[in-house]
Amino acid sequence: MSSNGNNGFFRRLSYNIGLVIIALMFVFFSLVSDFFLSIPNVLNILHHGAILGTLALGVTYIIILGEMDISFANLMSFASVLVAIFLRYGYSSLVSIVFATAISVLLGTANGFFVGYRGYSSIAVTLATSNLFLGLNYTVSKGRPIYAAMPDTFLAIGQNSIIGVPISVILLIIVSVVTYFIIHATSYGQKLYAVGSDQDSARVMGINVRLVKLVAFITASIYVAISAVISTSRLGSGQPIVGSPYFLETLAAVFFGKAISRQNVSTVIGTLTGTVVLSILFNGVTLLGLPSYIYQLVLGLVLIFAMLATIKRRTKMV
Amino acid sequence: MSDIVLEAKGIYKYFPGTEALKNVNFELRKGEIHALVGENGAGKSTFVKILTGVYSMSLGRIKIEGNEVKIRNPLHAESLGITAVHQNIAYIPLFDVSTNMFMNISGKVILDRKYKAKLREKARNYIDQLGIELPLNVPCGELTPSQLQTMSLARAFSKNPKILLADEVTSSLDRDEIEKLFKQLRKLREKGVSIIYITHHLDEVFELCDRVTIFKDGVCVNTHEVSSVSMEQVVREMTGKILNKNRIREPVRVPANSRALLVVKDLSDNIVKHVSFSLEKGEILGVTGLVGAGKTEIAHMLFGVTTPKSGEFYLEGKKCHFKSPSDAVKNGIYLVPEDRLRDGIIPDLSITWNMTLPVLNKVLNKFKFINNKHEKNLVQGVANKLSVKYASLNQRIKYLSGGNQQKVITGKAMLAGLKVCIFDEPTQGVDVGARREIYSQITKIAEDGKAILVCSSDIEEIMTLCDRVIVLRKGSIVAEKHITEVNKEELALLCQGLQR
Amino acid sequence: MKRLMAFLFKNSILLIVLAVVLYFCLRVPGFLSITTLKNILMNSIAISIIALGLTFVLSVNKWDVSIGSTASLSAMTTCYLIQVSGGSTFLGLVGGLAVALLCGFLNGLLVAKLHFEDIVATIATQSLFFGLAFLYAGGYEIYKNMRPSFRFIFNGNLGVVPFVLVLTVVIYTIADIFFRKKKIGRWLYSTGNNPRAALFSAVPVERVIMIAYLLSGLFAGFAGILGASEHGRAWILLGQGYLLTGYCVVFLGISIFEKPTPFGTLLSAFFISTIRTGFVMENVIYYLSDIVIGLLLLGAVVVSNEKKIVHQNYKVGEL
Repeated sequence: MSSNGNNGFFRRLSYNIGLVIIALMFVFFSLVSDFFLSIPNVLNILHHGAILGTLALGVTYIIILGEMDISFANLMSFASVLVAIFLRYGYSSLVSIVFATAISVLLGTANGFFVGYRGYSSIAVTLATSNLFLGLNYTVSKGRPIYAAMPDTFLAIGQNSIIGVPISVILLIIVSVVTYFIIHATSYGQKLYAVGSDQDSARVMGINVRLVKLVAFITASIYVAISAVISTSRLGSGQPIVGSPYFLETLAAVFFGKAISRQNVSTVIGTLTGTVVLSILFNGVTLLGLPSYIYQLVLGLVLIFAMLATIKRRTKMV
Repeated sequence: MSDIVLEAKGIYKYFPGTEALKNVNFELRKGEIHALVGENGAGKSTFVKILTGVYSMSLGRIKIEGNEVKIRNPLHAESLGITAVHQNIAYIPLFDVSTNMFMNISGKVILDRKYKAKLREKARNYIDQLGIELPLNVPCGELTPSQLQTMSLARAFSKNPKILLADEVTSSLDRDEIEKLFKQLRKLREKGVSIIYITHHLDEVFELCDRVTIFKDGVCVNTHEVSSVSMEQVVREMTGKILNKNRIREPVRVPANSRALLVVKDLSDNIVKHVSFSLEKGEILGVTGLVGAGKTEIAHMLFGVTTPKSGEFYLEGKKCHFKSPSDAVKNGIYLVPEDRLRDGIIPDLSITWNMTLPVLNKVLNKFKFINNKHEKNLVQGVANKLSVKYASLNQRIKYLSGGNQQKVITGKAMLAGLKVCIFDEPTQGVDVGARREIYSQITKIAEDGKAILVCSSDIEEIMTLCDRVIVLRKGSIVAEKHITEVNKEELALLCQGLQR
Repeated sequence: MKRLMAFLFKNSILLIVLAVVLYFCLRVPGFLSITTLKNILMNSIAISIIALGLTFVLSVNKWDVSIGSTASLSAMTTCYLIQVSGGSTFLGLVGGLAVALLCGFLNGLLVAKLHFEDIVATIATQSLFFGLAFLYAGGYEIYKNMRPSFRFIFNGNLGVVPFVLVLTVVIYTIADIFFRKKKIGRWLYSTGNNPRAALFSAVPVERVIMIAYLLSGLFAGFAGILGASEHGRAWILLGQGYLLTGYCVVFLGISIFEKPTPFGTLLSAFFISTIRTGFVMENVIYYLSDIVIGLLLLGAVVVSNEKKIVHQNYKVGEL
């Protein structure tokens, strides 16, 4: 049987490692490609990061709980399509966004209900709902992009900047601040960590575990809707497959953040760090002209690294 | 009467098909420590659950400080001044002590930068009042069971209770830690808290409590002043039987020149330090010491759960290299683990499957397929020998009572064709009546020619059951004696590292 | 009345499936025919093979979401080897199955030996395998040099009966025997229910989990190879639908038989295939079947869980 595993090295990892990795990546890619530090490229990184970051922050709630969600990418695709459809029917930006978000929330509630109130395995439920969302998506989009005449205000979200900073990034910043507040300063945030740490004790100590889980899934769906809006606005159309590539990336970002945290928990800073790392990585890989499947390979490896860094927890069969 | 803080009159509790409590009358005086004893199933826990608001009573009246109350739920009970601490403490491993004591459940927002520090102050306040020490900036997942129990007490105290229910709180504690806990309970009494103390360990009752109430078959049999009743009488009223404190059999003395069945040389791991001893066929060797002294660690090394850092052990002269429990079982060493639910049973599998799991080779036919009939006979035989109470051998083992589950686990040992059987805390959580049964089973196994190792922090148990005893302290052996050469007090002192 | 409701709920998914099948029998012309039956059976082959592997993994209470990628990778490997060897089916098969075993071994290593969380580990390996599958042909199909011997695996007949059908039945029979009558079956279930207690009961838990993942990989790969044999070529997205349908099938089996069993899986594979075939015959739009399978999986999850919960409330013995 195994003896106690290596604790020392990985225990001393902290967010500093994240900064070091980011710095290293910056140096590497700027050496390798002249284009890396140019304005259009930086904007690309920022836009990608805004969408990825919003998604990752939403999924963070669920990972803190100790649950999993594999339906968020398909939900994002569906929401993107919905926004475009509403705009095509002539609704205003605001109304379209609200409607799409409302439907996202409804679907997120389904996840939350089955996982929270009925206590089913989150992966089983989200596996099923993932395909439900895909099916719904194709039902309304028939698999084809949705084009619409979008008002300038709407397109501004994903395409314009204020004093050089893209609006999407400003949105991400606002979302980050709000998320930080919720997770680290409210009692709900504390309950999230409590449930994630020991669900049964949390219940005995008076926490309404079911409600906490339900709210987490609902909240996550709001973040998904926001990222869908940014994406649709940036692309100027509703693309039915827009969410798929974000699936692995988002999980990698969140788990990366979890791996580099001191107490092996998911945090806002950790998730944001992971987002930055992965946005740069994605951009760098594209710049180097590597085919996209290499990125998939790399993402798989990033996830494995993130898990290796948490090996301190798993020395024995318990 | 102004000094009765809790009065329960005519309490009845019905469950579908059973009458759990019948006309229970109980009163708690202010400032007393009042013990509740009774066998498993006698009704103590039901009564406690009614007081803490987990169950509602079917009939009866409860008065707190003279005012009649209807306890609706645990939160309501708390607001009425009734708090409980249990054997299994609910805590969040990630959070530190102060957060676990004062979790922010209803509050909304923490904008105060000094919040954490304030919380620690608050926690320190209560902890100091109890005269204890706890590290405040460590996640609770790293605390020992004793420290967790202390935190649990401090947490209960911080709710300013009138009545504290302590339910089997000493189960995972050793002598040392129990002393500390008693000190804390007495401190609480000084602060005006009245305590109901539920336990299986009668010696604790006589050491700590003022009065004792005995439950039997759902009825309150009697209430005595501890100073005017004997343990024999208490046991008699609890079980209807005479307490038999005698040994099951006379201590066995194995001649010095026979080849030992099990020889342990210099065994070490993180906690255990250079332990050596030998074990003979037919003898029962006790390993005792405080919690954390290394008893379970030795058991795990001998059973292949962990690998020793250094040292070795020999079975029948052959050196053992166990990489897992299956190696150990193949060689004839079996362990009955301490934590029955976690380590001992596969809850959703049937009794039969559970019992034959380590010894599937015995139920295979010549083509290596499982012979169900043969299996059933085997299991039936053992189950009858141990008088296990079950509805059907195919029912899921989780539906059996704890005591019966323990019997099934012991039955596994009996099927295993073993040479050495290790028992880790064999009667933890078991009441007085059933304990003796387990002791006779263990003795029977020894008389069958097997070698037995009993790891236990219960010195009474060691004295009753074992032929020889090894005392561990901080991982090393500090004494090795034949049971006739030592008495209870000496053993207790040796565990503490002291000597007469 | 209450007992009737309980019975209906417990078997609700099964009843729904039967209802759908009945609907097809009545509404779709030509549904009740030998040809249809043969279609259904052939359509259920690949999914029943991959679901068998999943049955092992789920019986130890673990997840493997990399099976789709494993299928694709194995299929691509097989066809690539056939192509470069000038048509050696044997080499292709050996190579493809070997790769499948390696995939399973990696998963087993991560989950069983290194104790990583199964979901995260297999999500990672899923992308790893998928990425590797690209390496063969940069995303294009591999189709050259396919000999009849390779195509025979899926399309050939032994007399009247398709070879692959016989193969599937044989494999399932062996699996069923192992589950019920050999040590490994008990070991699987006990590891899934309480791994620590299983360890203390002399079950080689790590080895058992490793075996489960090895089998999952092996069968996933084999299913992929079957797909390639059926169509005479391998393409990157070959394994795409396997994940959802595979889990749906196994969960359906669990919801009927209260634990993962080969027989339950086989039966469910047959049912699901019936529904799928019926949809195709009715010319229903393809994504609708995705929704239906998704709903069925959800329903199967609900029923399996509710059954467990209902049982847990029944207590015998002390308080």
